[in-house]
Amino acid sequence: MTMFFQQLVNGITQGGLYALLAIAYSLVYGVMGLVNFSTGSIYMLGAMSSWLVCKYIIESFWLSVLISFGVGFVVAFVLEKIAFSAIRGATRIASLICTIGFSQFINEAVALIFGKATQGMSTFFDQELFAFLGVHISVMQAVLVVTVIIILVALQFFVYRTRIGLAIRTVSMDEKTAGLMGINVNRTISIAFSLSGACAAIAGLMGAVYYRSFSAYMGWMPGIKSFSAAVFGGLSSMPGAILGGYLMGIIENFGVQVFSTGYRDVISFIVMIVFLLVRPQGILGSKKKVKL
Amino acid sequence: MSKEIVKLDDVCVCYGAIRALQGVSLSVEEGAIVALIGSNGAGKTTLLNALSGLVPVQSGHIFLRGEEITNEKPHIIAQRRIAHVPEGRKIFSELTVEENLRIGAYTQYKNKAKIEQLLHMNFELFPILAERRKQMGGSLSGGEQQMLAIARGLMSEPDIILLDEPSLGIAPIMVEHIFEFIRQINASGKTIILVEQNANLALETASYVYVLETGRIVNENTSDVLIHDDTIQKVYLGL
Ligand SMILES: Nc1ncnc2c1ncn2[C@@H]1O[C@H](COP(=O)(O)OP(=O)(O)OP(=O)(O)O)[C@@H](O)[C@H]1O
Ligand SMILES: [Mg+2]
Repeated sequence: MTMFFQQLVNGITQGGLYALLAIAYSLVYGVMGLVNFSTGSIYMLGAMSSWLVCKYIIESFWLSVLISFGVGFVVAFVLEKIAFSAIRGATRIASLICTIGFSQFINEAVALIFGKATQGMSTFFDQELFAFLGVHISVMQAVLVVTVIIILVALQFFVYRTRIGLAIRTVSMDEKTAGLMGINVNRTISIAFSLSGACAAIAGLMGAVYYRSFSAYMGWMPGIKSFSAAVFGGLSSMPGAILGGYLMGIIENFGVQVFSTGYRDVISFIVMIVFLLVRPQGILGSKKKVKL
Repeated sequence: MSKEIVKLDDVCVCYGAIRALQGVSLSVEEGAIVALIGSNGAGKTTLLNALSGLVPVQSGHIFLRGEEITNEKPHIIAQRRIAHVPEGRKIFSELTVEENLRIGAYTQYKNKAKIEQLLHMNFELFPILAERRKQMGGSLSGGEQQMLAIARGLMSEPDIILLDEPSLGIAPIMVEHIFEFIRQINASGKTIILVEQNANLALETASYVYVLETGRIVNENTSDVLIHDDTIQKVYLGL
């Protein structure tokens, strides 16, 4: 029982991180119909900026959150402007390969500058919040869980209650008709893309804090796992992406418990593949064909 | 003579090798109902799309109230008091009826009171939409969706409305209703450009008609004249 709750707590912590990344995929997929495979690299850039902040400026979690958000937003904005507007309308597969190329480019550039080795990250909120019947929850876990929830709630508000959010949803449904309604389609895509970058970067900061490390290649695994999580939840649905992210985190941690740590990355994928065989549109996704 | 509000001058549009519009010129007077008729693939939808910026124009010029709008972005053109009710209605099926209408007023966001007023006006014009306001757009019948599409267009308070085949796939009784609304809207001072395959309906409703064939205007005149035209009677009215 103790183990069950401990893994549940760990799963929720990690799941929050996947949920943020999954949302990053689903935002871009919504407005552009494109899977952005450089999401994992933006995650890494978020981790990198917080690592730099803590190393060279001040060891502050909240400043790191702010800086990561800003870096993710700006990098994604620029990326969309120089790379994705140019390939908009290109064949789907060409765009897809482009995002993979960019991801590779970013990772290698960072590896060249800071080296390939894993670097240590400052520890935050190391104290134990409470231990109950052997279940340990650290302050850090609580902070991560709560921060993710705050961001998710804010995002939901933004997308479902504001004018720009309405524009994003409208462009996701039908870009052409959105334009006829007077919505600036290009700007809306740019905003959604930038926001997606900000989410991925904050997830990266959390990854760096949770695993207490940073490396140029750290974005790869979380990147594909949360992509799977997003597909799992239903790529086109934001609530689906959140659900998928949390489920992924929880399944992974239980899997580690039942089997062994070595199988960590395999278990979640097996669960996902089996699930998608039964329900290809994901948990909350609509029946519309998922186009890659 | 009243004022010219829309003008196309020698407009060409291509989709790759397909030349959908080959030098089309036309002129629409303020307050008129002008109809475009022509068979499938004649280029009627393409003409409206060029006008609202949905397809790029290769050559020629489009003017709105004397100002050139050729190849402007759709959202810029939409801000110039022109509403396009597209072919196939293009209702946002995952939004409610009311949300669909509010989207139509997207350009009016600064004036909240105005939006409420327009909403009220449209619910009065189309009571069926008031009844269904919380229902998803996708759950409406074809005729109701067409009304919603027109109402959504009206939400931006346009001077000019482009209607692409409002009768398509709709029961005859509903078509009558919809065309009654179109006349009513025109009577309130709005200019209407109507694409219609049903030539009878077009000639009945419009004051001036253009006939489009394979991307060219092959005939144009007031409806009173065209209704007695031999080729029109043979080809489009089946008389
Ligand atoms: N997106 C597109 N890509 C390629 N060709 C197109 C496209 N849209 C239209 N066409 C072609 O351009 C020509 C004109 O089409 P358009 O849709 O304007 O005709 P239409 O008069 O509206 O026909 P309908 O009565 O069937 O709606 C047709 O030959 C059509 O096949
Ligand atoms: Mg058409």
